[in-house]
Amino acid sequence: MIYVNLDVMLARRHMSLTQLAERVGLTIANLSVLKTGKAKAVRFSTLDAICRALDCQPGDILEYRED
Amino acid sequence: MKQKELSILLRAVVVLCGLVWLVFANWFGRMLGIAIRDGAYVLAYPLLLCLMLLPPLVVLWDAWHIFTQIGRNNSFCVENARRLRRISLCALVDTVLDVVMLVYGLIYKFHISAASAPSDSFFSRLDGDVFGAVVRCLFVAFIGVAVTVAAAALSHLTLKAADLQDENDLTI
Repeated sequence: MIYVNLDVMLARRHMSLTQLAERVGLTIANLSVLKTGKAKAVRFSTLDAICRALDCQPGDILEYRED
Repeated sequence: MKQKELSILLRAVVVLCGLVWLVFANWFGRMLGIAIRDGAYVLAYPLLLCLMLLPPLVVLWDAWHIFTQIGRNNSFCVENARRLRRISLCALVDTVLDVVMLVYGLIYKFHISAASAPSDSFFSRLDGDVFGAVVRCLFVAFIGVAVTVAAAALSHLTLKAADLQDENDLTI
């Protein structure tokens, strides 16, 4: 199972979800869906925008764990 | 045509069909009343006719809700797929009842009516030849089968579309 550790990176960068949503160009609702693990897929363009905004690698926010 | 306009138009068609259903319900109900008065041996035919009225009522109910969802821009949902499946089953039930009615009518006409029916019985009042009745019943059965198949296919497609939409909505 893929887990999205968005809140960990947000805490490290001292950024709120609202600020990230503005920088990435997504709605807070969509980012919440991603953060809570309800998303079924993520576009590369979205991942690119998030990594650029948080100055991190995809591996910093995506983690694979066995159920 | 916009979705809301389409939804209103389709629901208006459902209301019109509902009025037609009321006309048939009144007609078949009166036939049942005459049959009850004439005696039990002629009850099955009008009873079958009245039973055939129930599936179309369910179909109209489901169609109303499907068209309401279309107006709310929620055409592809699991609920609509379930409603279409129910419509398919109702059409199948109606087709079966129609065939049963045809068989019963033929048996009564050729084997029972000549021997035991009084001259002023329910069946003697039914006008029309046997061939015409067979053609009518087969035509209704054909429409029933067509609706069954079309609704079943639409149900499957709506379910697949609902899955795709759900996946698309949850793609960030």
